[in-house]
Amino acid sequence: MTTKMFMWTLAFLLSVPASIALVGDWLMRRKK
Amino acid sequence: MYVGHVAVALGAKGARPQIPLWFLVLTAQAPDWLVIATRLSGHEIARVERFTETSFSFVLVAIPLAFAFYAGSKDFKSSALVWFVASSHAMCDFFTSTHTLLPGGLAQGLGWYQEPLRDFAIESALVIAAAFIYRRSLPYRSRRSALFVLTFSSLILFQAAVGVYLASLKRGGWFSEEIHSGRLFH
Repeated sequence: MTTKMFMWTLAFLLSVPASIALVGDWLMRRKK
Repeated sequence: MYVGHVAVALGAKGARPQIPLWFLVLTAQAPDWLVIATRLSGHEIARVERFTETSFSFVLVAIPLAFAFYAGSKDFKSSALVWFVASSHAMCDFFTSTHTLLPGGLAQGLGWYQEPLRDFAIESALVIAAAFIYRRSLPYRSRRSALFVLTFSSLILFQAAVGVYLASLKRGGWFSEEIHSGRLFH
């Protein structure tokens, strides 16, 4: 595996919990 | 640390709800994003992780982010929290990695990535603690909602999946060479 591929994988892995938190927060705070 | 950084951001959101969560998440993960961005841009900035993943980050990463937030908000207390969230990155990594806090290649850190159960225990504990603090900032109807449970349990589940991967590394596997080489992310 190349360093670039490893970095793209890390970027994906970092963005998953970040997205879970951001989407969850947005859904919980939106006005119904 | 992995999900633990997002947990710190969520805890900070609970403490100071006026700070946007996207900014807190970006701040908590900033040292890692800086390494990824410099490597992907093709610029081999001499081992940037020596500056972003160690105690240098308290100054080189955390202070610019805190200043940027202060410039936009004029809110000193929130900016101090932004500084703390960015600095927490290297502090949290002390538990999971082996080359944090002190620059210069000295082995400092407990290296719990090699003991995934301990890693899972501390990161889950951070997520649960963050859930209690974060919860206070939510509208009352959301505090006991299924969405609240789903969000935080998803974080713990994802950490568990990464833990299974880390455990599998002992027998080789994807990226095991990169991770064990110590060249990246110490």
